[in-house]
Amino acid sequence: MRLIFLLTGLLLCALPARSNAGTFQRVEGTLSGFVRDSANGESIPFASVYIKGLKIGTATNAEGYFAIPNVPDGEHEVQVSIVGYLPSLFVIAVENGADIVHNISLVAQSVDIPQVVVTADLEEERRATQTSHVILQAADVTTMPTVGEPDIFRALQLMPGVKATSEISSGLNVRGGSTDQNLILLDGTVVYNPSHFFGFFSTFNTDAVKDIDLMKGGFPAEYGGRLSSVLNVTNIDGDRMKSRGKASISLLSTRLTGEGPVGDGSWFLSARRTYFDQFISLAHLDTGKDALPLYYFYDANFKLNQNFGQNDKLSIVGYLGQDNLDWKIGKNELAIDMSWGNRTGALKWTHVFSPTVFSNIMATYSRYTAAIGVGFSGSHFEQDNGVDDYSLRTDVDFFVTNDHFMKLGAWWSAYRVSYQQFSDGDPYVFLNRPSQIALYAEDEWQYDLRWKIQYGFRFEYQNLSRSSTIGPRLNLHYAISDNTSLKFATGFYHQYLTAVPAGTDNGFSPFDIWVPINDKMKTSRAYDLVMGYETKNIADMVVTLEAYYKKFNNILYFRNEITDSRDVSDLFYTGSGDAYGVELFLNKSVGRLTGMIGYTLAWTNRRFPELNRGASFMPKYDRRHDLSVTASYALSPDWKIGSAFTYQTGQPYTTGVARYQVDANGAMFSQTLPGPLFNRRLSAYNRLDFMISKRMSIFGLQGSWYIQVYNIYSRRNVWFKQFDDAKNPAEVSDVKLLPIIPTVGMEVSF
Amino acid sequence: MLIAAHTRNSKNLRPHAIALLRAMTRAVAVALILLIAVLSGCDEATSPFDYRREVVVNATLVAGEHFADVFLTWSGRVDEYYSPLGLGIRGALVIISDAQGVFADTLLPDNGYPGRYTSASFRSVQPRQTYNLYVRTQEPDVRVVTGTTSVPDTFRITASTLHNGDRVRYDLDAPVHSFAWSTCGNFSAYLPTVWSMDANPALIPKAYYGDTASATFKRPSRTVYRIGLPKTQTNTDVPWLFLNYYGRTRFDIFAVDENLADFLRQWLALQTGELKEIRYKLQGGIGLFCSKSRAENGVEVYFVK
Repeated sequence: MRLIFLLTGLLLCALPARSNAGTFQRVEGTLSGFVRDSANGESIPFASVYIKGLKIGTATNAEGYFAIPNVPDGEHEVQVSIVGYLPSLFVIAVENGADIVHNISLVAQSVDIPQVVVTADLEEERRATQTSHVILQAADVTTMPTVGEPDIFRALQLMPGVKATSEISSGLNVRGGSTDQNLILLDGTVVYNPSHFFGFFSTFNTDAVKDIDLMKGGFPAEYGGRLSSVLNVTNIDGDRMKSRGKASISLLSTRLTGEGPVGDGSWFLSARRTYFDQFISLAHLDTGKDALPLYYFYDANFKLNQNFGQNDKLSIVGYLGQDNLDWKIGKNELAIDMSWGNRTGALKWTHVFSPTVFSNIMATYSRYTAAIGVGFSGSHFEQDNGVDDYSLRTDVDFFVTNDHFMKLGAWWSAYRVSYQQFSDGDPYVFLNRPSQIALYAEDEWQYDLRWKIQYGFRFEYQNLSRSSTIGPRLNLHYAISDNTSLKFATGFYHQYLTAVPAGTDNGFSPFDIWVPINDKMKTSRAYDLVMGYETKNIADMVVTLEAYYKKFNNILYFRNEITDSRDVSDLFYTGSGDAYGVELFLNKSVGRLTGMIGYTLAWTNRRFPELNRGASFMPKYDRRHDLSVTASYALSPDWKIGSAFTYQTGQPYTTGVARYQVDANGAMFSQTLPGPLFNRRLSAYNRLDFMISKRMSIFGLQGSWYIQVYNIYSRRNVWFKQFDDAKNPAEVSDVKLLPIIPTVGMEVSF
Repeated sequence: MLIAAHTRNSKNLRPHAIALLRAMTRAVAVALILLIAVLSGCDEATSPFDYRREVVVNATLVAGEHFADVFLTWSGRVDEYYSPLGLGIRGALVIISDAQGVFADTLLPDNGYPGRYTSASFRSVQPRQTYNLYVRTQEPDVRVVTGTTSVPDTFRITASTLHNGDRVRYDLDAPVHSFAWSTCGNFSAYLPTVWSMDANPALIPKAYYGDTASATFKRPSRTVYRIGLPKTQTNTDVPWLFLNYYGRTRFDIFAVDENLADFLRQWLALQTGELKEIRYKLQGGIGLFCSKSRAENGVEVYFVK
């Protein structure tokens, strides 16, 4: 603990050293304010605010707030810009060092308006410091063709360094990490199993989403508790100007969204529900010996914002999502009843203490539960698992000087992790109540016009394992020229909660169970090194080349043969691993033609002494080559076409090499002896999707329709290999993935 | 005039040509770097795996019974026709001894059944006793396999809703049957087991029987319906799903040693997902050298259609 105070003290002492020297005896004020969308009043995060003559500036934080201290007396021209909006230019006059509060409204740039090129001399962009960032808007996701309906995880899986175990999985494997190593936040609240439909779709409804921010590595000290990545999803606040709504219908679901002003704030509500079950029920296909399952999912996002004066805002945020499966076969022969889902809620108070001190205080609740009930022939089996997360969190932004932007924060969480199994006899009950605290401090230091350094540390303690960790973080950004920069990032990350893939290892599944480590286990940890090169010199594109190396220690591998232990340490093998690779990313986000090309060359290795005879192996999500190309072209203001192509090296799998029989309790068990773990690869995966959409007027309302074709050349990619040792000799067959699937949908705004 | 125009055009074109050349050079350099990167990461040829046949052991000692036969076979290639009889290991040295070294029995090969080794001893397997297995195969492929098992204690069924000789009607709406037994010692797991005593058993629910009546349907001869009962649990329900639609049926409760319990747990867990290796508690080979104890008072009933 003493070390924490020492480090914080050093960080604080270091801050004013350089800036004071340059500002001695000057009369200076602070320019601060919020940057919002002119059409709906939504806050705009990460916008650049830049005082041209002084060559100083900053970027808005997640709430759209900015502050530029040390602005000398006089008139100054200020430019506010961000991709997707027309830049705003205005003049401020600082007199006698008085602070200026100036809120800015930006006008969104549409495709039919001639493109305005945003330029600045080494302009400040806070996120530019961050290495390995992927930032998407909901609009980016909706223009990417997919099956069913737009999905955030499917869009992210097209980014370099982000993979899925299979296309029947919405889990993310980021730079060699497993799916439970991603910290997934919805408006600041952790979501534990963000999937619907057995992992095929994510829980995030694109109609409700404003901003998607994926940090693939080198993430700042503000974030922790996971080894591989941070996915920060921010929902729409709601229109502060006028009430409006939107209805969408696709082959999969119906979505309804409403938003509008209320008091000095806004409200937002978006909900969707699938309707497979309604069709089946109407057609009476849900009864009898060949009954089809009744399955549906729904989710709803809610937000209420209220400003109390200039400096205070209170937000209530909620999410509710649920999947249900009801399947009854025959008369009392087999009945399966499953339900699983997430509920999150947050109360957030945003307060501006002074123009240069901005704070967020949040109380959050996140609950994930899954219940599976199986009744067969008069007997009943039930399995329930869940995690409840009660958290308090505070983050304070200090716009200390023009050179230093500092963040301090604390995060306390109490968990209730449970697993229960009821059958005959005594129920199996597993219950743990760990709590965890995290403190962090970080500083972003604009050393000069070329160098920017972000450094910090994160302290974490978990009571069940009685272990504490310190994770230092460092991000360097060197501007070679106005449009070209070099980046470097490194950090140590720790994880105290892990998911047991109780289903298959294909990503998220409703059967996954979160468990905390205990005092017999070591904290999982990882460090990474990332080097990047970014240029905006090529046409209208941002080109990024990044190389990374990541080392994992004390990572866990589920021993699925353990059935009745109540000690978490019995459930896992402990091992290590590494991942390294190169990622190339070309992104064109302005103009009529937009799109991206992402290529990853990567290696992932794991080693567990008890597995594979102690030899290293490449896990299922290792892909040597991964190429994604997406393009969207606005044929006119109304017509738009888009396509996405994916190519990946085949997924590793384990092949059998020998057969034998085991006599166990009087019965012969035919067994296949596997070769080394994941010693073969499936054939390479490739797929092309296509979409066309048109804006139109429907009964005087603005709307659009779209047609999407998934897997346009109907390539039957292989999902997995199936060994049939009932045949002699044993037969190996391919289980194929989805063929061509066309989808249509419609959307109406009112 | 034409020459002059050509010269002027040439002069104008020269910088463009140089720029083009430079651009091409850059493009070729980038392409080369990418090509090298791609080639360096070319999909590896599938990793070499030299198949080496394994010695497969099958032997289960039952508390209170004579020493069981030990079966030794070689594993077979996955892509070839598999015949355990044809893979029986001949001429091996097979010894079972107790932990104290008091008892040692060299098992004799059964010449009519390749791979079967029978005990010459008339002694019984003792509950709570630890036994060691030693196997040594003949030249030219000499392998040594060793294993240990600790025999579970004896125990008995104490209560049952079914009794010997009962005639029972298969009825999905009726309450399920249940069993209770006394506590066993020195064991790893209880295995409630249903045995069909008929030549053509129908260990399947009534609703499915019509679909599975074809000659090709492989009917199970017995069902272990609970693996991984908590060790402290000494009772269980028997779902109708695991009962005979008709015919003679026997109910037994076994207490099994760690070797057998571990195998069954792994086998059950590895039915889905990636093909994974089962870890046996044998050194130098695969298979089971294990022991079990059968509860007294097993029940045999007759299910009527």
